[in-house]
Amino acid sequence: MKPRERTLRRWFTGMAFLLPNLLGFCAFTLVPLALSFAMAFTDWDIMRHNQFRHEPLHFTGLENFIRLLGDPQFWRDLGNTFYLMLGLPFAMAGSLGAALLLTRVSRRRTAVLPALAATTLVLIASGLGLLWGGMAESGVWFLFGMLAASVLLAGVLTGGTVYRTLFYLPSFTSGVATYVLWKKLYNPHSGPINFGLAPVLDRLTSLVRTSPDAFTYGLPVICAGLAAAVVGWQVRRLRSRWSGSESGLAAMVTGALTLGIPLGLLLSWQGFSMIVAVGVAASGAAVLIVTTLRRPRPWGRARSADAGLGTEFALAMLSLPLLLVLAAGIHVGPALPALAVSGIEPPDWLGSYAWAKPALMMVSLWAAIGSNNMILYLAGLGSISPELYEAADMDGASAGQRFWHITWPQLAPVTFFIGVMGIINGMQGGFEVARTMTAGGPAGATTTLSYYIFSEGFETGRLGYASAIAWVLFALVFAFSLLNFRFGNRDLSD
Amino acid sequence: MTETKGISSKPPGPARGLGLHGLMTLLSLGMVVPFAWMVLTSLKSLAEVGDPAWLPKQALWGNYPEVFSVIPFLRFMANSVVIAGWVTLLQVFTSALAAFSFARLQWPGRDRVFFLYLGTMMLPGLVMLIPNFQLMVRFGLVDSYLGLVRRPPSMPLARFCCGSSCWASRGPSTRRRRSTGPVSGRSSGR
Repeated sequence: MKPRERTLRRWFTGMAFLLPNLLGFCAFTLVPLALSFAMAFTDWDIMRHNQFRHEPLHFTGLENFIRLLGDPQFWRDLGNTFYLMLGLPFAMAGSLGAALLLTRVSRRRTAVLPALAATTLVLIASGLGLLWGGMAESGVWFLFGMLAASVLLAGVLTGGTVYRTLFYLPSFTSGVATYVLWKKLYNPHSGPINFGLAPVLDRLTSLVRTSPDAFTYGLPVICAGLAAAVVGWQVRRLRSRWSGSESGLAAMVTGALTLGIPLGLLLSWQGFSMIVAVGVAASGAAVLIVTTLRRPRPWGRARSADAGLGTEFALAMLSLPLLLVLAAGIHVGPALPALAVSGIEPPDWLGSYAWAKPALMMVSLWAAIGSNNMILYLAGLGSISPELYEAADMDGASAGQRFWHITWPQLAPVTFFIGVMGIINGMQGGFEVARTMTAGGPAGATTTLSYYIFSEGFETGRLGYASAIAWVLFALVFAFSLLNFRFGNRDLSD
Repeated sequence: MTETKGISSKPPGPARGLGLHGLMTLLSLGMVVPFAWMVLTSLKSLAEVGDPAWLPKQALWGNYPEVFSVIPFLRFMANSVVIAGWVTLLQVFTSALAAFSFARLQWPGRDRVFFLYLGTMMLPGLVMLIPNFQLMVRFGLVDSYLGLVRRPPSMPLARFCCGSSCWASRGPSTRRRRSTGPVSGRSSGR
């Protein structure tokens, strides 16, 4: 009687705290959720079923989902979503790098300070004067110099706080504003990106014209060599993990992710040389065979601690886009001399099918490096106890060893959290940026799944079908998150 | 950036410190330059905007006062402030209470409710946008402040962050989470 009463009391206390939130949660999340789940099984069309027209609503069973499987647009948009997510590992690496650099910036003031201050003041004054009066074309370099000097001065004065603020700048500007800004920057005719790119490409054109062989054969060979090195490194790491009798299935998943996804993309990528595809296929198969042969039961879970699998996963994710870039290098090399005949043009970023997605990825990357992820990493770095580093110093550990054996494992929970959130957001994302910059892109090149949901639901008005897509997307995100929680945070306790 | 002396073993010398500052300045410029371009373009005349040159021929500072006469800027600003204010107030109040309930209190069914919350986080906001819109229409909240101050979909995120940091600081006496749980106390690397 007594414990039961206490349990009830505890339940009431907990509920009382939760209640304000739970009310909103029910009203604006759970109820709409149930509604949308129900809608996924109907033919709800906003043109026929609204507050003015009440046509009978039909329960269509699984029809929406069956239609989805045969919808080429759904598969294309799914591919687009994954493509845009390839930037995530770079964004995470960038955030970590920025955080590491920020913690290393000396907080002491240096002796050159007064001199710097004087120069900067003069520069700022003359820069403002330049803006107020008429200005020459060359004034822009002066302006940049002024900007750089003032940033440096402020950085030295504040001991690095200014850099952190500036890195965070894209995050406290509203997303839509930065997207509009980048849309202007990408403009092929008036944007500064192509303006700055034109002389570089002219130089490249003349280089290709003078020595075409270097690009026809040299570039692919270099790229292939680098790709082989990356693949070999991955294979070696995976093999050592495997023979170290760590979790087989996780290594298999990692291997498949590293090599299988680029393989699939390459094979589906029209115009790719067969040799590349076969090469990647062979190396992928080699990893799987090697790893499978090493263990009698590759699907079984190892009993020993699975240390470092998160590391493995992160490295695999990082090498995946790297391999894609290298494959693109192999592809582009032989085509360059033909292009150089008429001069290599800067890309028509948002207007071209091939460049629209990389353009959006670069914007996201730019915004993501100094985002909340960096703040999380900074907090994580701050909470690593200095004793660990002192001990490592006594043992004579190098900077790389200190990073891989102290910093990285200690940051594993943060990395895991950022990775999970990044994957969840990435799979649901791409709507805002595509809506603002490309409206879905040339020929749907930047239409992600969330954008497809929006256009089905609010542009064509097929609410039922849109809900079905949304629930399939949810299932995908859920599956990925389960995989992550299952395999990702195993080495949190390193 | 409170206790960071452990990360770099030796304090960098003046030369290395300055080099680091230079590198950080360069990286910061990468973040600032797009905005600088925006500011410079804002000083251009409409005819000059299509011109790839960075600097306007004549800086038109009058562009800024003009904003207030072309669009009802103050009105838009007030809208943003009102909406943001209410959303923040409600979010912080309810999320803080909920995070406390999830992290520090023990009550039957707590973990299940928490995972229900977590699960909804994985749903695309657009899923809820469609029925939410229908509900707003039904309740006559379309075209009203109240309709916008409704619970935004990012709300569970706020609680998750808050919640997970509270998980991390929970004492050993509370129930240990399995590996499927959020970032758990034992593993926070303290």
